[in-house]
Amino acid sequence: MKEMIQKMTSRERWLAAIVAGVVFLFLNLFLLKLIFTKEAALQSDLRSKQLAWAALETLSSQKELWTKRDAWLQEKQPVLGSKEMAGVELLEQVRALAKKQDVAILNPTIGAFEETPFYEAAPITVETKSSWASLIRFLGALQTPDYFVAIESADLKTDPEDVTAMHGTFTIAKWYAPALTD
Amino acid sequence: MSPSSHGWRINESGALNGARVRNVSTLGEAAAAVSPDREIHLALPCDAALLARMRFPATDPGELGGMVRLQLEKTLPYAAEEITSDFDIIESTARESVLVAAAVSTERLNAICQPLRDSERLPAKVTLFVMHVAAACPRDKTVFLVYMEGGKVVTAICEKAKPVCVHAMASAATVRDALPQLLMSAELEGLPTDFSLVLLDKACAQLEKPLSEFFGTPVELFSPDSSAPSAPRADLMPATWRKERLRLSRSASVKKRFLLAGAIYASLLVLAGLYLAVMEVRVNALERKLEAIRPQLAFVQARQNRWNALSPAFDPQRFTVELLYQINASLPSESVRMTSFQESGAGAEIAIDSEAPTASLAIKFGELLKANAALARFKFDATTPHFLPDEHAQIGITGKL
Repeated sequence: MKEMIQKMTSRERWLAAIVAGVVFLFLNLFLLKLIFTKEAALQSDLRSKQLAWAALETLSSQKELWTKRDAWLQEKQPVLGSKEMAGVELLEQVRALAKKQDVAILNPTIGAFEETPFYEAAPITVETKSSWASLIRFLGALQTPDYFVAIESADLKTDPEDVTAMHGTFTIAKWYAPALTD
Repeated sequence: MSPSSHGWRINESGALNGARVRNVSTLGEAAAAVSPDREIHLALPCDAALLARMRFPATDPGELGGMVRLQLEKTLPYAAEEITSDFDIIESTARESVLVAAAVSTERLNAICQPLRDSERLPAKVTLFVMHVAAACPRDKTVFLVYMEGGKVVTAICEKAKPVCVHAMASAATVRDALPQLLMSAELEGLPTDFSLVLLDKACAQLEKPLSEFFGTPVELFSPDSSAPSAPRADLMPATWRKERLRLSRSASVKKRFLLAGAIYASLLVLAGLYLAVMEVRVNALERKLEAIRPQLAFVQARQNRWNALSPAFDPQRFTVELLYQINASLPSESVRMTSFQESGAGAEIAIDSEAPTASLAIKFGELLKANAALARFKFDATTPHFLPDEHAQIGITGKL
């Protein structure tokens, strides 16, 4: 190598130095790009994992809370007696409450039986006509934590003729614990 | 580096006869033996140069230099540019100076120093070894010096510790016979020949008796290796060599800087690599921790999903009556009323229509809904109010979990 350089003319040495410099520059650019790309990817990966870790730690620290809540659900969620009677029983219950609160129940229907991973239900759909106060009392009595009754949909409108009167359509369901499967 | 009795001697400590002395057979070996960071001071054998005692009516060194060069040009068979010369003052009075001039042919110097030039180790200073040896003589005595140098026997007349007449002889046997002729020539040249001391190299100890008998003065044995000469003033380094040495020094400096830059660059690359490796290790360690905690997370998430899915049936905050209460509580005045309410997905989505006497009240209702902390889980969107025939403003608001 040394001999080869010594054989070169001054002009050839300059040209060789320029070529070597350009190659070195490009090699550096390539290396820097490689390093910065890798660094950005690692930083991003690290940040996302740190966030995930923080979230997981929070969740993990709440394990006891969620165990207790799960136990409460196991204890409180009602168990279905009969699929056929579930809708009928709920309708009777709703009718009784409505009557008590002076709410008129119109066009009741029992919907198809629903099964989800978390509950089973036979929803009913009823139309109501009542005063605002009666409706509020009826809804308050219908939904309590121990009953596990959910209003899946509601549509309330004030009577155009009488603003104190309310027309409503509700889909109501009692969410029973899902049947145990083998 | 200086000539030894049969080869070359390297004195590494800086002084010619310092602590570390090594003998090698050639100058090439000597060049290879000296570490690249050390400066080389080369002491030439006496037969490489010409020494002449001169007397000039001047004392200024610059002036004396010019006179010496002029005189050498007259006496030597070389052109001025073909020789390198310098001088050392023996004694100086107010009016005149006696000095010893040393001159060496540049061609001869190049030939001697070729091994050094080949290895790009040009010396920093070039002197004559005999001047170093003479410097060890007592200044108040005229000394006849005999020592071995490169296989030859060197005789020198030393005046005030400066060699003023030097001869190299092939062997010790010829010295005794050559002495009368040598002294006669010296006397004719006006050199001192009344010797008060004869110094003899231990390597030529066989000459002790003949010399003692000849001079009738005591002969002291010495070793040129163990004397402690000071560096003579005369430097025979050619000007072209100085330039070449400067160029080599600059080239070495540039090379050193390039090496330093290369080392820094390599260090930065290594640091970058280490940084990436550390990052990778951190990411992997975190991934392992996440993997370890994931089963617990699946347990918690399953329970959380169940709780959230069932919450419309047991969480009072999700009950329809609670929603209606919070909406009612957000009405900005009694004149604003909700005309319809729709809920779907067990409270996941709600839609409200309301009427207000003015558009600003209708808009304010929407803002109050958004500001209601109990409804913060909803993301509300409000339509632009439009006006009814009775000039009341109607606004539709939707909220999604």
